[in-house]
Amino acid sequence: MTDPLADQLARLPAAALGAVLALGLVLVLAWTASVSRGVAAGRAVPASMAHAPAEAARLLRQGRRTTLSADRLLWRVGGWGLFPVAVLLIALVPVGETALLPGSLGVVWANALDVVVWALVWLLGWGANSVAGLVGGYRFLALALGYELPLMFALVAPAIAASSLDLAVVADAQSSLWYAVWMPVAFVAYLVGVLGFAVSGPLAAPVGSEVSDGALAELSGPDLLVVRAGRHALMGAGAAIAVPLFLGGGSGPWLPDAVWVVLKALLLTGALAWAAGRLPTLRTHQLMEPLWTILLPLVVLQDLVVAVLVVSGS
Amino acid sequence: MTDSSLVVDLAFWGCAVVAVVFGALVFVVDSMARATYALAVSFVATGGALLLMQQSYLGVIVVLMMVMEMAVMAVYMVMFMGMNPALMPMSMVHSHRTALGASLVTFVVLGSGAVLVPWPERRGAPSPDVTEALGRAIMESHMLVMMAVGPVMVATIVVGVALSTARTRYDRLGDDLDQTPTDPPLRGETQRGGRRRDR
Amino acid sequence: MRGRVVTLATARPRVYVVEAPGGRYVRAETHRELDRRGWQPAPSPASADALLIAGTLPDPLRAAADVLWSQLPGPRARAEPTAVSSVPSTLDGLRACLRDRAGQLADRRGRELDEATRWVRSDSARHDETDHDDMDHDDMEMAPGGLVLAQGAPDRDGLEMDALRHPLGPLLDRWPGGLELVTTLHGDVVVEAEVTWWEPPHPTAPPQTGRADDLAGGWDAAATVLSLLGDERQARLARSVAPSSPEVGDRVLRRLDRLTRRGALPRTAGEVLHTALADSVPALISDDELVELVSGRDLGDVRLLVAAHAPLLQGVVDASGSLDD
Repeated sequence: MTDPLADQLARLPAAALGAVLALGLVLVLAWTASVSRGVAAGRAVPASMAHAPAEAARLLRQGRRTTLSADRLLWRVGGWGLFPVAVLLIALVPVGETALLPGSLGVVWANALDVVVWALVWLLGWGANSVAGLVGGYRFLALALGYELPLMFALVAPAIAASSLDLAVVADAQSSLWYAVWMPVAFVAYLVGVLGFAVSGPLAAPVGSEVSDGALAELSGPDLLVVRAGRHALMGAGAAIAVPLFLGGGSGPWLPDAVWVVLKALLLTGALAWAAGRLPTLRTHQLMEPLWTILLPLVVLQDLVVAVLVVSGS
Repeated sequence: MTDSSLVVDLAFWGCAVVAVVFGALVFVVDSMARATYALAVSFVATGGALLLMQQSYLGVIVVLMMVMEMAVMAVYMVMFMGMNPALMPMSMVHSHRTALGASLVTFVVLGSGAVLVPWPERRGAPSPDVTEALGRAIMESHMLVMMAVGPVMVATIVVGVALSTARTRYDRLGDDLDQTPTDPPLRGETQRGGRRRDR
Repeated sequence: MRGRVVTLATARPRVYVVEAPGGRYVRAETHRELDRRGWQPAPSPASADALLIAGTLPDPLRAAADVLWSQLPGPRARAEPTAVSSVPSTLDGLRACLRDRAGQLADRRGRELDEATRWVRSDSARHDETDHDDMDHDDMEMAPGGLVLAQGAPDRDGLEMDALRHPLGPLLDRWPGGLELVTTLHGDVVVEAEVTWWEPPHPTAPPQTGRADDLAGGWDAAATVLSLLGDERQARLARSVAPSSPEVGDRVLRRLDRLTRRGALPRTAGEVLHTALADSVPALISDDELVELVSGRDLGDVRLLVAAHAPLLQGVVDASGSLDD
C-alpha cells in the first residue's frame, strides 16, 4: 500500500496544469465575448480587439474607492466572486479525455454554480450602500427568479435523454443528433439563462444604463475590472457548458475532440455576445411575464416530449 | 478509498469547523445581510461534508438549494426586520438566557441520544448508488402523492400571491393575462378587488 | 514600458459629462466629439477618468460640483468648456492632464482635503468605535454614518415602505441642465417629486426657435434615451442625424418605435419622441406636469421619461440660448 498523502501529492502537478489551462480558456472566452460585444456595438474589429486590454490598463491604473457606510466585505466578495465561478464552470466541461472536475453530477453542479451568481450580484448591489446599487441588486433577484426556473427545466431535458447527469455521458449520447436540434426550446431557454447569469443583453436591467449601471454604479478600478471580466467570463462559461449539453461535445470531423469543444465554445460565445449586444435591454416587468407564462410552460412541455420519446424509444 | 482517507478526514473536519463557526457568526455579526450569508456559508460547508460522506447528490443539492434560498431570504430578512437593518447595527440574539438554556438542553439530549442509543448492526451491503436507492424508496410507493403534491404547491403559491395583491409591483391589475399592465401607471391606491378593465 | 501602459490606459478616457444650466448645445457637441474620437461617456462618476461640465455653473452649484469631483477615483481631470468651439481642445486637455504623471501624483496627495474623503474617514472611525463596545439596542444612534434613516410611509397597496428622499440632478449625466428633481422613493418607485430649476449664472442669448432647432432637440433627446437604454450604436446614429441624412433618421425612428412597441421604452416616452421627430412639436411641459409624469414610475423609467421630454421642459426652454461665441 502506498503512502496516501504522497499519492495525493503526486497528482498535484497535473491538477495545477489543468487549473492553469481552465483559467486560460476562461480568459480567451471572456475576451471573445468582449470582442464580439464591441463588434455588435458598431466598433471596428481591431478596435474591439484592443478594447479589453485598453480598458484593463485603464482600470488597473485607476484608484479604488468606497462609499459612505459601505459593507466592504460583502461588496468585494460579490465582485471578486464572479470570475472564480466562471472558472469552476469551465472546469466541469469535458475537454478531450476528461474534465478538470469530472463527476457523475456535472449537470447539477453547473446549476449549483450558476445559482451562486444570485448571491454575488445581490451582494454587489447591496454592499455599495447606494440607491443605484440596491435597485440593481433587487432587479437581479427578480429576474433570477424568472430565468432560473426555465434554465433548470432546460437542464433536465438533455439529462433525461441521456439518462445521466454526467456531462461526458450527455455529450457522448449525441453521436447521431445534437440535442440542440431536437430539443430547441430547452436550448433557447438555456441560452436565455446564460444571458441572465451573465447579466447581459435583454436581461441586463440589473446593470441598466438608465440607473447609472445599477449594481456596478459605485465600482471603480480593479474592482470594476473583475466584475466586467467576470460577466464576460460567465457568458463564455455558460456557452462552454452548452457544448456537452446541447452541441454534441467533442464530436466533429478531422480535428481532435478537445479542439472541437473549444471551437464550439468560442463560436457560441461569440454569437451569444453579439446577440446580447444587439438586443435592447428590457425593463424587468417586460421580462417577468414572458419568462414565467410562456418560456417556463414551453420548457416543461419540452421535457415531457423528450421523456415520452425516450420511454417509447427504449 | 483508504488511500485518500487522511485527506478526506482533514477536509471533512475542515468543513465541519467552517459550518459551525459560520453558524455561530450568524449571532455575532451585526447586519442582516451578513447574518444571512454567514448562514449560507455554513450550509455550503455542510454540503461539502455531505459530499465527503459519499452523498454526492445530497451534497450538491444542499449547496444549490441553500445558496438560492439564502439569496431570497436575505431580501425577506432586510424587509421584515424593520429599522433599516442595512445601516443600523442589529443583533440576532434575543432572550439570551432562555435561548441558551434551550439550546444546551437540546444539544445534551441529541448528543446523548447519538452516543447512548444502541445502533443496529449493518445487515447486507449498501447499494452501489445510494442516491438511486433513496429515490426508489421514496418514489416507488409514493409516486402518485409526489406528483400530486407538486402542482398543488405551485397552485397554492400562485393563488396566494394573486389573492393578496390587487395591483402588484408592475401595475398588472387583476389576473387577466390578456390585459396589458397599465402604462402610464394609475395614480393613487387601488381598492382590493376593484379591478379596472377600461383599457 | 510604464509610459506605454499609460498611453494605452488613456487612449480613450471615459468622460462623465454633466450639462450645466443652459449648457445644452455645448453638451450635445461634447457627445458628438466623443463619438468622433471613439471615446465612451462614463455611466457614473465612480469609474470616470474625467469630469466635464458643459456650460457655466451658477455659484450655488460650484460646491456641489466639488463634491462630485471628489467622487472620481483618480487619476482624474476636470474641465468646464463654455463654448461649442472649445470642445475639441478641452477633450485634448483632459487627456493630457490624465497623462501628466507629476500632476496626477500631486492631485493624489491633495485628496485628503476632499470632502467625500473626510466623510468616509469619519464614518469608518465611528464604526471601529462601535465594534469595540458591547452593543445595546437602547443607545443605537438614529443616523448611522451621519446618514438620516428613511422614514416609513404606506405605499399604494397600503403596505408600509421606507420613504427615501433621493435627489436626481442637478449634476447628473444625460440629464437636463439645471433640473433638480427630488424624488421620494418607495423601493425603486417614485411616489412624489419636487422640481427646482437652477438658473444659468448670466443671461444667455434668446432661445433659438424654428423647426430646425426643435428637430435638433428631438434628435438629441432620442440619442440620450437610446444611450440610457444601453444602445450606444443607435445613440451614435441619432446624434449624427443631420438635415441632409433623412434615411439615418428613418432608421433611428423605426428603432425607437420598435422599442416602444416591445415595451423596452415607457409608452409615454416613445410617443413624445415620435411626435417630436415625425410629426410636429409637442406641447411644452410645466413643472407640475413633470411631477405628474414621473409619479408612480420606476426610477429607471423616470430617467427615460425626463430624457425623452428634455427639450420640452419649461426650465430648459427658458435657459437654453446659444453659448457659442
